[in-house]
Amino acid sequence: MSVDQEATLSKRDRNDLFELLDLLMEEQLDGGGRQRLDRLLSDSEEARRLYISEMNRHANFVWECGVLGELQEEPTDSPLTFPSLSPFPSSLSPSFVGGPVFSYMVASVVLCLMLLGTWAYKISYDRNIFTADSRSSTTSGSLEQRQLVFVGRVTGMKDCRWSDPDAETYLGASAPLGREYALASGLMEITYQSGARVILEGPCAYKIDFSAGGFLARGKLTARIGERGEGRGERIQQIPKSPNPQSPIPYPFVVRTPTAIVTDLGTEFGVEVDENGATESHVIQGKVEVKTLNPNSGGNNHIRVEAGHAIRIEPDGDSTSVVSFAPDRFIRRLTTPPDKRAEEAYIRAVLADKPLGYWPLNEPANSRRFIDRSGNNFHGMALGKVFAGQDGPSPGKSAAVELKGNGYIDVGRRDRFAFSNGFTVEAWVWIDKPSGISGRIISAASCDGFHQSSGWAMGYSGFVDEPNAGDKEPYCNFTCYGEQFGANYHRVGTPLREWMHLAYVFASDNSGRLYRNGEPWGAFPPNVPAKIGPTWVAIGWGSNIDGEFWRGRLAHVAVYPTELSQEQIDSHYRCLHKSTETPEKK
Amino acid sequence: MSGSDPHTESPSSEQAEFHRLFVQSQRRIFGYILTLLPRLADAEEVFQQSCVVMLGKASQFAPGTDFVGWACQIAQYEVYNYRRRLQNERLCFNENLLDRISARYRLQGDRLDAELDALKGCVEQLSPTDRQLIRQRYSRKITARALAAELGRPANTVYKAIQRIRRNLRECVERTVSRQDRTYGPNSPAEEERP
Repeated sequence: MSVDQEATLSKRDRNDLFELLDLLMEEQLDGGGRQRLDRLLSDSEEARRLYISEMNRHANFVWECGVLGELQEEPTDSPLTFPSLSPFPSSLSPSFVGGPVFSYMVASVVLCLMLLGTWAYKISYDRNIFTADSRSSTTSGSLEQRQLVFVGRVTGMKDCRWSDPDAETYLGASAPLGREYALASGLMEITYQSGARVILEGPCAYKIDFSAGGFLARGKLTARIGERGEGRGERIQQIPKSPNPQSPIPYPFVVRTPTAIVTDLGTEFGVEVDENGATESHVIQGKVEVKTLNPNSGGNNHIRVEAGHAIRIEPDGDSTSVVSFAPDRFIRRLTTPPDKRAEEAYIRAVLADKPLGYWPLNEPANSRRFIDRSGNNFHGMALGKVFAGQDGPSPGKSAAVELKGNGYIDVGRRDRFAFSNGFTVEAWVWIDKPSGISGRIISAASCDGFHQSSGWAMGYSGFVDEPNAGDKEPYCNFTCYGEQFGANYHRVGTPLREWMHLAYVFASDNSGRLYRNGEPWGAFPPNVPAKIGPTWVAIGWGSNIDGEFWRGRLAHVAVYPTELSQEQIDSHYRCLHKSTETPEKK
Repeated sequence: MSGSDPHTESPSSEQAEFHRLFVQSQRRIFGYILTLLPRLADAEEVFQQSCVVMLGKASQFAPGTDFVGWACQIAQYEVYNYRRRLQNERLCFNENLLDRISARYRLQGDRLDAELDALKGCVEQLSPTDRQLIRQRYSRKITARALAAELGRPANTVYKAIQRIRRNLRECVERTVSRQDRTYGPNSPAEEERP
């Protein structure tokens, strides 16, 4: 058989080739497909040319979109609609492209638009309005009329099996308005952007039809709103108007069922809907208001249920009865065993918040270069004793670097890290034995010898040998925004040899907020204003003249040019928190 | 280490030139690796490792020579190394075919640049919703199936839509590049004419 001839690829083979390439790019090519692709490419030079062109386009999209990150702000107020999934080709006018000059012009415009994030969505609480038939809660309206609005994220999964395999999701996935989750078994947690958390227990069917609530068609869920009321939709500026009398969608967190609307007036409750549509609501903390729904008469009753009590609404939507309070029937906390997907979810969550620099530090052993995944190419180079490929926050599943003595990662002069507004620094850290020195997780500073004269840093100090300091335990030491080194000290004993997630929000009024494992850990009054100057960025550097810098491990160091909220920080933490626990009932 | 500010050393002009070429060529090198290792996670890992090796061997690069060729050689070696660690069922292509694809890729370099230029114009011509979908597909580095799950749509619907967009882009790029070939004549960028 003659091979390597340009004209040997028949139309049928060409179509076959592209079918196989689509499967390949979507990672759905099976063994038989691989063999067919192998044969086509082996037999035809033209097939190889087409293959390379197609894969190069694929690589280009991966590259470009990786640079752009996910969910960037759209510069205009006009919302983009949900994509049309029409099977018909869109028009691509051949006459539109006039020549190479025009092509370059268009390329420039496209690149500029891409950099401005024109392709992205704007997530706005103001738009988190979605009305649906509360009885069936089926998707209303055409796809084209829907807005893709993300109201939360999947923050926990355990042994999930799906009633509809096509509708499965993954840990860290965004949760858009209108999304339905049909669990055959297992547990899944959704954390709303408002901070409310819902744990679904399979079998169940739940739909997010509001930014502060959802429709439980059947099965069981536990909703936790937060001790201080976080999660009740405080940020929602606009109370949704619904034409549906069963869907008044009030301000607090709401779980609707076929026969009731359970409205949060407290902090934690469980709801169960049986196969006939009967609803039970068990109030674990605080109180709820249950509104019964009679589908025939349209009548309803309002019943307030206090903590420690439970109520049942029969399928007719009219009959109610007090039932035994049984909190043990509801899963109140979900911890997900760490795995590789958890780390991928963490990376996605970080990139979604658009860091200026993000170094996962999960390179394999012996790596000396550390990639900035933000897309801004602030890659770092190891100097001194830096050891890549160590166990990370999820042992055996994620990696970290270990720094000893004089080791640090040099990112170079990066003046973009000299912020004039609020910003956030975040990292997973594991502190080894401090030895009377300071070690910085990351610093962005103008250096005067070994002391910074401007800029900021985040790290620990251990003054165990200093008699007057009174600090016999190592503690996190934060310097921020000012000329003065060591401006903000957080003198809380810091656990050693234990992974923890730290985030520090440098607010625009020069105050600071510190978070540990997603929870507030300290707040600091306004400090000396920033002194902006030439800025060198280093990970794991320090100020000790003997070159004794950060001692311990670091992973997922990120710097954001914005002030992250506690919800954002907590949702990051929860993607990758260290846990070996199984779901438990309190 | 101690006694001096480690940040004050300035790189030599050769180092600066190397880094300029390195940054400029990263996209091309990534494309080369993805062509040889089509699974994205594999390609990203090898790309990362290749970058580390290239930086380690920076002093071996002769200024003025073909940087992309040098880099692809290193990347190819890393691809082969990586393949040895992969289980057989995940391998695409035998080594003989891999060599031919690799040779073809280097030959096709200029044409690939022209195609990428054309691609930008073709993306611009997509409808906003198609652009949005393709961006969603790639910005999160998830497959059409996972994207469909996230959007709450049937996997096949999203898959077919992405397939259609790719076909439109392919046809538009081929049209644009062949028009440019005709404009510039047979001896310009078309890689078929190169030795």
